[in-house]
Amino acid sequence: MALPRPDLHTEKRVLWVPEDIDKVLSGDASGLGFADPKFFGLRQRFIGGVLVSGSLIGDPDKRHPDFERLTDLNEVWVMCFRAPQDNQWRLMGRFIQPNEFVGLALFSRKFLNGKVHYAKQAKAFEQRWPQNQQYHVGSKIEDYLSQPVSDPYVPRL
Amino acid sequence: MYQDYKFRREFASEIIEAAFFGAFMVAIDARKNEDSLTQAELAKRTGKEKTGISKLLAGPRNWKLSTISDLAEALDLRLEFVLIDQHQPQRRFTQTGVAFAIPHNTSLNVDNLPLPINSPQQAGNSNRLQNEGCQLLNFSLDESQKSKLPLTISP
Repeated sequence: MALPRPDLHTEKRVLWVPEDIDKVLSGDASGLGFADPKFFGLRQRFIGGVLVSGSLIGDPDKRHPDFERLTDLNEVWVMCFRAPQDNQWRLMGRFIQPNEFVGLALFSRKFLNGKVHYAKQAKAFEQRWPQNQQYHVGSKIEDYLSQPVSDPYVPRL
Repeated sequence: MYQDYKFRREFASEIIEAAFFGAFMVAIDARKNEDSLTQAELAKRTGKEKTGISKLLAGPRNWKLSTISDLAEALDLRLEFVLIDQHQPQRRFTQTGVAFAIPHNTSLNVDNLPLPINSPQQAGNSNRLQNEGCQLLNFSLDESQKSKLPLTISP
């Protein structure tokens, strides 16, 4: 499927993923039900430098940020593909520097259902991360993502 | 064919809502940092309740043109409209007519501009990463390798 090509002559943020995940995010994987424009919209917004949202405290109040830093773990993030609602996916990864996200594991949200199971998968991801690979650490969302970015848990004004 | 347009419409809508909201958020941040703009002040300027402003700033929505205009005025911003012809990307439809973005007497060469980010080449991103030693769940990339990675897409 050919994705639309908005005339955005920028590539402000970088998303690194393995080839099989790349196929999914690029629309080349068939049969997985990735047909929702909003699914591809998040990828586009991230890479193109358009607004994305992120939270450093997970998503306790269901405010649905695009990126969540999982709690009780060391800089483990999920990029949240929340549409379509019945076929949500989570790309688990880490920022290796501002605006540069490495997503190494793609999970169906249904698979991650249940806090205990979700935490177990995240913990396993954390342990699989190579010891010699640095990752980025920040204290506010702007430390990870350049403007425009919003944190639904931090008031704007 | 119309199915394709349906997808494109919904995709573009997702992007444009975020783009509008994002641009205003950046402007609001600037006004807050440089002019100490507050939510109460913005509410007064737009003629809305504070709760209305809070809702407005909560996340991208399908804003009315009047909302966009009100916010722009309240933030002392001037809006301009440019529609880019996807059949002829150098042709722009503006509020005052048609214009062509043809570089003239400058060093800018449009052929050298980065490709639109949805170009097929982008799908090769991870191929290059894998060629540099990155495997699924076996990630290893040191600084010297990283410096070799093309971070922008070239034709």
